[in-house]
Amino acid sequence: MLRIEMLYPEAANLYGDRFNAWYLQKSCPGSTVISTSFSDVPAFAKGEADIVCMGGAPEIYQEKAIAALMPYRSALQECIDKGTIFLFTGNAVEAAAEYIENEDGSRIGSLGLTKLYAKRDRMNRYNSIFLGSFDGGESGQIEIAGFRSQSSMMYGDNSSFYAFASEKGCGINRESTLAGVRLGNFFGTYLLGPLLPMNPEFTRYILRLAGENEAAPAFEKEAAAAFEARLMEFRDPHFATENLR
Amino acid sequence: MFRFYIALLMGKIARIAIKILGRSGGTNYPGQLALKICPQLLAYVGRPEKIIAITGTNGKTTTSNLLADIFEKNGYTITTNRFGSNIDTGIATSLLTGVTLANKPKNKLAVLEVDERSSLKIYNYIKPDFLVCTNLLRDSLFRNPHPYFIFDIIEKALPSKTVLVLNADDLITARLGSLKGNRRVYYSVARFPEDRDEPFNLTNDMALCPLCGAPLKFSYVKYNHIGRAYCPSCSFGSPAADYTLKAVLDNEIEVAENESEDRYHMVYGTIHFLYDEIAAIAAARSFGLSADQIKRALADASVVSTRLEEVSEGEVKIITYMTKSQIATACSGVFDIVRGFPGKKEVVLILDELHGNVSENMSYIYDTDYEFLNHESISRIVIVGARCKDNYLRLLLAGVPAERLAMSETGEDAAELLELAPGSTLFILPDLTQPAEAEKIRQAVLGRLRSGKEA
Ligand SMILES: [Zn+2]
Repeated sequence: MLRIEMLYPEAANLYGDRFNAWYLQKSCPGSTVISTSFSDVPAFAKGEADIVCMGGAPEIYQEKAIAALMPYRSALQECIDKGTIFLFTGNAVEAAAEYIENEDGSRIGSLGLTKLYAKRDRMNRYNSIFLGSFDGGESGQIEIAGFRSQSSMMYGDNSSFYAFASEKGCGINRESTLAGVRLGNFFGTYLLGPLLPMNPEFTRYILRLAGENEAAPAFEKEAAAAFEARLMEFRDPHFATENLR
Repeated sequence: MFRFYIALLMGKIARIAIKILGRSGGTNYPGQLALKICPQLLAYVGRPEKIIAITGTNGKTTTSNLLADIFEKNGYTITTNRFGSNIDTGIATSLLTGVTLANKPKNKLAVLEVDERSSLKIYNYIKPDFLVCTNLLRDSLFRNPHPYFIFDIIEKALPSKTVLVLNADDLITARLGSLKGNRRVYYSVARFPEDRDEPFNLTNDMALCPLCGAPLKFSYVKYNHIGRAYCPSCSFGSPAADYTLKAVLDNEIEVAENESEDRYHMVYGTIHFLYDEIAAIAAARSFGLSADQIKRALADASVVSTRLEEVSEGEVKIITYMTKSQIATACSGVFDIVRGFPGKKEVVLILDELHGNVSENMSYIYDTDYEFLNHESISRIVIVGARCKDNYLRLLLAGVPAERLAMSETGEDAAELLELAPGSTLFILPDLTQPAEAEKIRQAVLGRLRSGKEA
């Protein structure tokens, strides 16, 4: 049984991100989902969360989420050091950056878990499919397929702590092939919301990391069939990488 | 200015040429060409005395058409883009068409539908006297990350002298003009018996007070964040409305304005069309038409809903309802209607298909209320299309029992997978790009019903 924390779901809920927490809950019956709002002390800071999810948000709420987490920055680092699982999707990955730069050059300080920085370019959205993989140790190479639709990119060197190596779709920025941030069991990725239901093998990997060896991704067979169909489409050279409908 | 006159001339020639040749693109290409020759074209083109612009996520086309009708029936000849595109090239085409070769406006009034994202390109040059904003909701991810993004674009582009006609029941839209101090006119739809006390969709983009951050409380909710809300911790809340659609009475609506009440012919009874009609009434009244002038103009007005088609065969009713795939709020709205429709129902979903070499971002199905389809009155859902497996998983996660679900990737056996019990209704829900597929399935269902093979 897992204690799954959703950070600021009242605002950080773009693109169906909350389904990551709900899917984990369905995959591991008896688990609880803790919804932490802006005025609450995060469960992870009290040692009461096994998995912490945060989703993409409109920029004003992304900034509010970072500000709300700032007092718990060292608690968050301690959780990472002791192996708590974090899944930050969409622009929530930028919480790991040092700062976020606006189009006019002004900067918003972020949690600084890495030396990366983010730059916004809201009038030029990047839309793409993403196909990549990472070394899951005993679980073998794990493939990741998902979608990106974003108004910012990250810059800097993530070669020693990227989350996924890309096969299709760029990494943390257009010039990069290394996507996201991985710090221990902290996964940060621009991949959008329903990452876990769309990637049952990644879900299984997360469940294993959390010590739930008996748990299986919910609706495993159906999720796998949808995943396989997506892999086929993404590997088909006929399909464009960028410019989704 | 020399460039401008060349552009004007070329635009007009292009329009005539397209007409003579019987080609398409006549509502867009002339403006596109003219803008290429003279990028400042919109600053120079002869301006009608008054301009009303209409923008917003949903309902801008219906509201624009209603407004254009109201003015035309009151004797105005208007410059409009009702048959053309709503981005800068379409607006340019309409305005070029609306002036003589000497750049003299032919009409005193323009009614222009404006794409929200094009605001900056348009309002910098064409400063509307009135701007109607119908609502700001989550839209296709491809262009619009979230409603606040669109709000910022419109707010930035907004000329301070423009009078805003705003939906008071959308707290995102309602805040337009607060920085520049624009004059604002508000319209609202009162609480109806079917309205809910709390937000009931997966997404509510007005959960928090924008002033103090406290969770907002709703007095009633129509859908998503559309309804009336207030902050329990500060003075923020839905603004008082100048025009309130108070009630629906048979085929009329009752509208309260200050102390008086007026009745207007109702053009269509669903909530989205009611908002469009009250928006058009509020805009026309703000412009200066009398309530009687509007009443007369609306007396025989109707909107042809090309999105909805109903036929019956034997004891089975078939309703085809075009559903905008990729737009979660639109799909959720249709799913809510299906759930609330009386009697036993079956559903065919044709939302996601292959489109050439372009993939679709399937994230939207996790923002869409598939949970509404988990209802005991819906006995079967057949999912059609290349991405049916995604929808199948989503419906399972919504709690729909597997025995109520079936997939038909090609759609060929979709009709065979339905029960078609006497007295039931079949909803076919195709994306706007899938009318042919929907019709094929409908014909197969009709064929099955006619041959008496129904269960
Ligand atoms: Zn407040």
